[in-house]
Formats: sequence, C-alpha cells, structure tokens
Amino acid sequence: MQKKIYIREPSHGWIKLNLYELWEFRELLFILAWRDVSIRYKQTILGGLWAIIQPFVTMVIFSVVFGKLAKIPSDNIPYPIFSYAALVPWSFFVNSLNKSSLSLISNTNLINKVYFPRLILPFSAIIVGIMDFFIAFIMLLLMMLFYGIIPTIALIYLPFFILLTLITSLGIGIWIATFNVKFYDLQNAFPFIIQAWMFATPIAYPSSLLKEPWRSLYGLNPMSGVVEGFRWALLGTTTSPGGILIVSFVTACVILICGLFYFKRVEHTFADFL
Amino acid sequence: MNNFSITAENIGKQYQIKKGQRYGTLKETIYRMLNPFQYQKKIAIDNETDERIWALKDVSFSISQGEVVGLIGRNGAGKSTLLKIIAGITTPTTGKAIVAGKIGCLLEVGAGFHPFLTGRENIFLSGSILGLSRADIKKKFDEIVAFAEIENFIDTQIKYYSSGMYTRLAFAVAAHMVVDILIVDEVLSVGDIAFQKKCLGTMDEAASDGRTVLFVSHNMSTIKRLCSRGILFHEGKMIMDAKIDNIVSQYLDNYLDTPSQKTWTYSESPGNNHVRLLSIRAKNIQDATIQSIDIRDKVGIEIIYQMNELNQWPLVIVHFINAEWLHLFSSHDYYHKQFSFIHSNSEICSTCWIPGHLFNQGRIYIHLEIITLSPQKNHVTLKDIISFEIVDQRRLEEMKGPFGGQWPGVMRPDLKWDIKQNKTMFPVKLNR
Repeated sequence: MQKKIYIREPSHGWIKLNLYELWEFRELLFILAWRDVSIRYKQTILGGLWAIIQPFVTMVIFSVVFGKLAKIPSDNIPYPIFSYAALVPWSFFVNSLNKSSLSLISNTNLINKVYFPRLILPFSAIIVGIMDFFIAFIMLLLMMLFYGIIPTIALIYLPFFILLTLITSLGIGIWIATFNVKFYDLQNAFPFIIQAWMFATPIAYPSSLLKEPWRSLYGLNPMSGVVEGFRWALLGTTTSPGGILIVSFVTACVILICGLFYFKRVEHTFADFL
Repeated sequence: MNNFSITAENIGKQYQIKKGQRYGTLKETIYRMLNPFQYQKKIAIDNETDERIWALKDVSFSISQGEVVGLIGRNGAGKSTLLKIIAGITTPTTGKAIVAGKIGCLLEVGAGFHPFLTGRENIFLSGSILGLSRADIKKKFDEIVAFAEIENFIDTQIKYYSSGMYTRLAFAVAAHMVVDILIVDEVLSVGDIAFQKKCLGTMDEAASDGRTVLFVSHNMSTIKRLCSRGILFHEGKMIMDAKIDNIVSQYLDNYLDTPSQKTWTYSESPGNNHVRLLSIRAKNIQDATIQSIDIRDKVGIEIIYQMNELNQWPLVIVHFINAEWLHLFSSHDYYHKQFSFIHSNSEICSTCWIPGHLFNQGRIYIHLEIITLSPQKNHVTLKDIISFEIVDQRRLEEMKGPFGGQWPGVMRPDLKWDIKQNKTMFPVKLNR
C-alpha cells in the first residue's frame, strides 16, 4: 500500500489554498457545527427561538423610533416588514461574525493539540448561523402573509442573495478570526464596529435616499447589497438595486478570496500565538 | 523498499520572546504601517535586545516503520515541540520533517471533549477531530464503549463523569484510530492501574501491528517497558539516540530536571544575616551524592548552613514532594538538637535520613525551610531545591507480583506481615 507522504517545513510566500483538504475533513466541519448547535439547545431554555427574538425585537424598536417618530421613508412598504426583511440577513451576518471571530481563540486547545485544516473552525461557525437564519426567515414569511405582500418574479433571485450573505459573512469572519489571534484589542472594538456598520448599512432606511452613482458606490459595503437584494427579491421594492448588487458581489468575493489566502498564509503560526 | 516512517532533517524551531512591548499588538502594527522606515530601525534595535530561543535546534533522525521510540528529556527540552512539528500542528523554523502515512496524535486526553455532550456524542466528536470517519466510528462504537467500560453511562453528559471515566473514554476513542504513526505525549499517567495496563497493551498491539509509535513520558519504567529505542533531548538539542536502557540511565544520571545537589558561595547563598544556606544534597550511606537510588536503600538529605550571631538553634524543616506534586511528609530537627550546646557563630551540617522501603518509585522533590521560633522568623525558604529518583531495580515479580506498571500508592513501605497456619484440615469435598 502506498502511503501518503507529508512534508513539514517552514512555509514562506503565498501558499496554495488546498481546498481539497477542507473537503476531506468535511465530516469534522459538520460535526463541529452540530456540536455548537446542540450545546446551545442544551444550555438555553428558548433555544432556537432566540433566532427570532433578536431581529424581531430590533424590528419593533426600529419601527417605533425610525418608522413612527423619525418618519423615515421605506420605499412605500410598511415599515416593520421593511426593516425586518433587512434585519434577517443582518442578524445572520452579525451572529456569524461573532462566532467565527471567536472560533479560533475559543478552540485553543484543539489548535494546540490536534492537526486539522484550521479553516474548518470559521467555516463551521458560519454553518451554525445558517440554521438561525432559516428560523428567522420563516418568521419573515409569516409577516409577509400578515401584511398581504405577494412576492414578485424577482423571488427567483433570492438564493443568489443568500449566497451573497454567506460569502460576505465568511469573508469578513475569516479576516476577523485571524486578527483576533494576534490582536486582542479587536475584541474590545468589535461591538462598536458592528454598531457603526449597522448604521452604515441601509437597514433602518432605504438606500434610494442616495442618488446614483453614490448609491452604487454604497455597495462597497457588501451588506448593503445583501439587504437591498433581500428587499427587492421578497418585497418587490420598485427601485431595482442593480448597481449596488454588482459592486457588493465583487467586493464580497474579493474579501473572501483575499481572506482565504491570508488565513492559509498565517495558519501555521496559530499554534505559536495561542 | 524504503520503509522509513519519520525522517527529521536539521529541524529547528525558534521562538521570539520580546522584552518590553508585546509583538503583534495593534499599536505596533499600525506604527509599522505608518512608518515603514523608522520601523526597520526599531526592529534592528529590538533584535539586539530580544531574546530568541531555540526550542529545538539541529535535530536529525530517522525512524523506520514499526519502531517504538521514546523521547526523554526534562520539561522544556523540546520533546513536545518536536511532536507538534511532526504532527503538523506547527511548522519548523529551519529544516524539515518527512512523514510517511497518517498520523494519530494523542497530545492530550480528550481533545475536543465537551462537558455538555453525552458520552455517545463525544465519541463522534472526538473521533472526527482525531481523524476517524463517521463510518469508522459507527463500526467501532461498541468496541470503544466496551474498552472504556462506560456502557451504563453512554447517554449521560460527560460533565457528570468521574475523572477516571472521562480518561477511559478519551483514551478508548484514541486507541481506535486507524493510523500508521501514533504520537503519545504523557497521557498514560492517568487512570487506575488496571486501565493503564490496558492502555499499555493497546500500545504494544499498535507496535506489533507494524505501526510506528513515538512516546513521551516522564515515567521511566513505562518508557523502558514500551520502547526499544530512545532519543534524549536537553535544552532543545538531541543529546543521544540509542537503545532505551542506555538513554534512561544517561538521563537519570545527568539530565534530570532538578539536580540532586546545590552549593553556593557565601556571598550568593540564600538566607539572611543570621542564617546562610551553603549546600544541600541527596546522598547514600556511602556519603556519595546520588541522582537516583534503589528503593531499598537509605537516602540522606544533607544540609550545610552557617549561623551568625544567633543565640538559639534554628529549626531545619525538609518537605518531601512527589512527581504529582503531592506533599508526602515533612521532617524537622527540633528534638534532635534542643539540648545540645550552641555556639552562636558556626557552620552546621545536618543530615536527615529516610529509611529504605518507604518512598514509592518515582521522583522526589525537596522543599527546605530554616526558621527560628521565638521570635518566629523565616531565614531560608526554598521550593523544589533538589530532587532525586527512586528506582526499583529488582525483578518485577519480586515485589509487585504480576503487575507491569507502577505499584499503586504514593508510599511503598515494606511492612511486616504475620502469617501462621492455624491448623491443618482435610480437603473439603466439593459437590459438583
């Protein structure tokens, strides 16, 4: 039998991604994700309900503050569903970021004691979030029913926007996870960054407040593309967000690909830093 | 056919220990980005003051398939770093290691175990972390449970497990890895004797199946029993690569963590104006300093100190600690010098004798205190100052019976047994 030969040597320069190795370890990926989900269900009383409570409560607050008091326009859609449709992907993004940013430092003893492709950790953190996302999404469908909103043909693009959400969360999650290993400062800045990011994303207000080309440039924040895309596909907002979408998609892909390469490059130092 | 298993070529691993500012803080990185030129200068200055430590240097060896090799050395000698490099957890700074085949890595018992999950769930979790496929785990599930002897608790969360059950389960999963090379780091020191025996059996089996085993342990008797070849490390360097018996005796004689003797010049000696500790050592009855001593022999702890202007006898206290950091007992010399004449300026040599047949096998560490009682004052307090090894050189059967491992218990006194034959009887006929 031919044995596989492994060579351990100092690494320098850019390393190939070796995504095949990730595929070989796919069982570990899912079992780690399953671990996190099952632990949450054992530790919390409300379990999966939290996936709804978080965006729902935010939606209520937004509706009162921005919808009723500040009277922010909402593309002629009832404000509650206007903001909730954005909060569903946003919550997924925030939770994935939270989990993947901690994924390396909270698994220190695994990293120090066992070999496996480290990318598994931020990847599995994202998978955990997907389940929450679908729970919150069901709530969104119920709300659409309640407001009597019938989706247009644009609905067929929804899977694409879900994919864009995944790419964005994974891309940024990988960067933050890597930085967190080296810079403990980031943990303190994280809640603040997320808050600022939320207001930089058209969640409480529509991006149609901006004129082109500024509106398309707004897509440099990939989450604006995601949020506007969700609204367009589900609620049929009249102003098509084409420009934003393209810019967001390209940005998200660049972030993810650079993130993967950067991660691979510093991967071998994790055990020394942690 | 070339049947090598692991080849190391000039492996070196360097760690950088920054003095002052921690490397890799956000502040430093931003500074570096903003002032690339000045940063280069700063680096040059830092490099002079930084300490770079070679955790491993110029390590080369070749291990062929099926060999069982023990890595020996004191803590920080580089054994674990080497294992981590071979396992792929970290990369070497220089040189390279070539590994043929799949590696199973047992650097920690229960890697990835989660207290909130049940035993069953943890078997799957830990199994996949160790590289077993789901199908493999399913196939071997019953075997693993039986090996760990936890049939009744398999669906209980492991936070309710006793530490023994936890260890057994962890090792059971690891023992069923399908690998070509097994790396084991100091994990057999846990669990009860029967389980340790079982683990050793598994490792024997692994070796006889033609798997390569790399084994790190501080337990010399286990390592001698398991391995045929040994590699001795000291301060990151490979000292010797030879048969295990030679390696173990070399290690015991010359490279143990805490030496068995310490001496100071007067100006450097620990203590204060009244008491100065000049030397301390472990010796045998022939008055020779010893590194290791047979379990049957007397050990003397000799303390030489100088007292100045002290109008009472100081009290010397010796504490005996074992390798698990368990305080075995302490001894003081209060009653032995209370009534003798004291000269206020003199050098004192006192020796505390511990009878043979008292310590169990293993390493014994000494803490020393010298105090005066009225007024109470500590003159010398030294922890882990010297140590020595208690070894059992008799044939196993003589004392320990059929047991392969260490005799249980922290002490091993030779006690008197009264055995008499009360009366002789006719054989009782058994009803079959």
